[in-house]
Amino acid sequence: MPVSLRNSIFYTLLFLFCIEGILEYRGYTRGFSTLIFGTPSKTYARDNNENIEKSYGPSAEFPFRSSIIEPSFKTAETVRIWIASASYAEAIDRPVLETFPSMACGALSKSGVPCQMLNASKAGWSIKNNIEQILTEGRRWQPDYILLYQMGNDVKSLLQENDRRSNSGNDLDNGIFDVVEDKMQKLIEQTNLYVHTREFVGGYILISSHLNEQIPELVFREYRSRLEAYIAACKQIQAKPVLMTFLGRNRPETADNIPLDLKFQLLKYTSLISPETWPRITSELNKIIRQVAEQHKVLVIDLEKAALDEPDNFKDYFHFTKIGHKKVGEFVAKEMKDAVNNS
Amino acid sequence: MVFNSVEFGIFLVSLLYLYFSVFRGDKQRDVLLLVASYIFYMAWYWTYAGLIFLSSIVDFFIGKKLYKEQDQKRKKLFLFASLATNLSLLGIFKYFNFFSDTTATIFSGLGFQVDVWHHELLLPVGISFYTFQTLSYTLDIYRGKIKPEPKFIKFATYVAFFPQLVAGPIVRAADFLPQLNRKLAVTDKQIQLGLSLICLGLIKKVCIADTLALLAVDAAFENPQQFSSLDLLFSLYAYAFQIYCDFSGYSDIAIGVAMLFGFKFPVNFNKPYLSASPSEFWTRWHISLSSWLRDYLYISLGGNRGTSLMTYRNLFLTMLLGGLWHGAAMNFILWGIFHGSILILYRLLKVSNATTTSGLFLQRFIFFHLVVFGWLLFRVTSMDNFLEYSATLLSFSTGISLSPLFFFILLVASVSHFIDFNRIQECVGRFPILLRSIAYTSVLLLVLSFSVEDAAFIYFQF
Repeated sequence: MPVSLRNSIFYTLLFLFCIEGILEYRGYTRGFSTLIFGTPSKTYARDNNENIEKSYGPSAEFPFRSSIIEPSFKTAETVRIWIASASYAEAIDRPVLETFPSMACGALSKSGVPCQMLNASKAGWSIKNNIEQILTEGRRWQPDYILLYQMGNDVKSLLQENDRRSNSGNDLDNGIFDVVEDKMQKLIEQTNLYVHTREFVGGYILISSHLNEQIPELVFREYRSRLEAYIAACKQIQAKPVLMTFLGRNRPETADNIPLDLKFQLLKYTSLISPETWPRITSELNKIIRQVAEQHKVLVIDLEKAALDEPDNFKDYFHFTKIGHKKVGEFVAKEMKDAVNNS
Repeated sequence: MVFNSVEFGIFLVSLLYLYFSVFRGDKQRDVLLLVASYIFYMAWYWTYAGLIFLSSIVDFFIGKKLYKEQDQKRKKLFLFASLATNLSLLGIFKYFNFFSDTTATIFSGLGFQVDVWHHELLLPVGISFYTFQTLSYTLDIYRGKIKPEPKFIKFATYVAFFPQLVAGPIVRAADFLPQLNRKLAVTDKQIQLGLSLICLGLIKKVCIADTLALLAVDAAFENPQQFSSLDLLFSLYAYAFQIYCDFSGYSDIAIGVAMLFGFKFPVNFNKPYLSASPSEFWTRWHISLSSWLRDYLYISLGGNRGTSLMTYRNLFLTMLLGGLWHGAAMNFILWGIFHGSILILYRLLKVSNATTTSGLFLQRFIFFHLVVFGWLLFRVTSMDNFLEYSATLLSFSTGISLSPLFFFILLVASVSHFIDFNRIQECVGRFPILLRSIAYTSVLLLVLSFSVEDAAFIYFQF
């Protein structure tokens, strides 16, 4: 290879690698998983000796982020509640006892209703994943109530599905390296160079562009179907389904004033819809939740109507702060106490 | 595998290593380039690689027959066979459904209900380019301009060479085949220029073209009624620069990559928006296509050798077919008709370049806006879309909703169009290797930053 070409390629790759290395080391020291340095040895769970005490899952035998119990260990008075959700309820960055499912169970127990909590939430899950777990694990654990708190991941996956359907036939997607290209893309998305450049420049470009504000009909249609499938799955294992309306950080009336950091976060989540549309999506899908609940005579824990969507309760659009978890947990406990007493 | 992807970067670096360090013989390199080019194409859609091979085989053998044949009638038959094969492929994949629908529409207008058949075949990427490329080979042999290439591998490489396979430039056999037959010789200056062209192309495509599309153009054309007249006007200007940067960016990368392998491709764009007239425009925009149309269509029709009326007819037909080449849709035909019409109009009015600076500026200003109007026809998705866009544009509604970033990128695009890249490249070429590598790294980071969404090159759809 000509020397100038070889040197140009070598030094360019070297510089890129060095920059990536520096960024990765910075991320590693801040507790993030990295490609080059791996995952830092200290995690939240280990810092708080959760695994050492072995009081809490998840584990191989107990796939829930809650206090470990035996499936058969349940008295007649005890209410066993299963939370079907995603990162909003899993809250891996918080101690187990500071998540709203645990707080709800604690508050319920204090109010005289003995409670066991099965927090079956996993980051990135949608309703489909929750249903799958209900059907595979539900009979073993025999929950009395299954509370569903899901929206964000389902909206994202449905928007992607809609986008795929709109663009099918436009791509010649039959290349011999498609699998390799997909894997390459996933690898690149894990690099710090990608994350940082997208965040600082790409995010600003997306915010400046005219993103889609139309919510595809498919989102409403499929979300309703998923709620109905969830209700059917609960009934299949003889658990009472409970729907929860979803909370986002902004109400529709303040959609024009979404802070820049929130816009960046929402665009990182998906760029298929403008950030300003999320409050509208949340509101519309919450209406569908209430409609489905009324139609199937299912209890709704209406977090939206309880006006719990103030900014202090959220650290981003979807995820709660410590205060947010506490308030939501207390509200859920109050609603569940009424439901248990009335049943 | 698009040029602005990591996969292509890995492919290119690996291929360069194999080309220079592993496969050292000429024959070995020929095979390597051919195999690599087919692998590149098959990364898109592997089944359609057979079409390129078919086109290559047919024209390779027809070329030999054409050269040996003395009888004019039989020569014409062989040429016809080449034309029929290549244009049939193009016709079936690209135009069949369009002409079916048009026929049905015409009959429907006359009161007859006709059921038409559509195929579901996808348009092979680059078919418009490589069929024109192989046709130029057989036509040049027929005209006695070149001799046929004796080795199939070299000819197949000429047809399928990956940098220009999917979106040009359309390289003539007379320009490229001799280079394939020469001994490998790559100078440092070529490498520097090649790498600089690749960087320039990536910036044009990703940082300018794709960003303009995302910031304004796509949304403006999708829902024109949501924007004001000023927004639509600036979006139209932006599209003019988007298509220029997208296409010339691809050409720059193609030429730059070819240079790294020691091949010199002709320039495909030369500051087209500095043109003061249509005839000048077509010597600056997509030069490889316009020269192909001139040499093989316009001149074959008679060029300007006949009466004025015949010249106008030939100009009109050439531009009409040039528009049709871009796509099987009415808007492309109208775009071709529009450019044919202004070519004729400028001839009729005997417009020549002004001698004063202000006069020339005015001519360029007027012609630029004519071209921009043409791009409106080119970009719309349907006639309804055209009417909607035009109506909103001409409503003179005020207000601007476009972002400051959009205007900044548009300004950069406008200014960069007029910059003499050669001077910058000469300056960069004097930097030591470390500084140049820092420049290349900066470009890659810039491109990565702006790669918000995956956007294909506009000319891939042709």
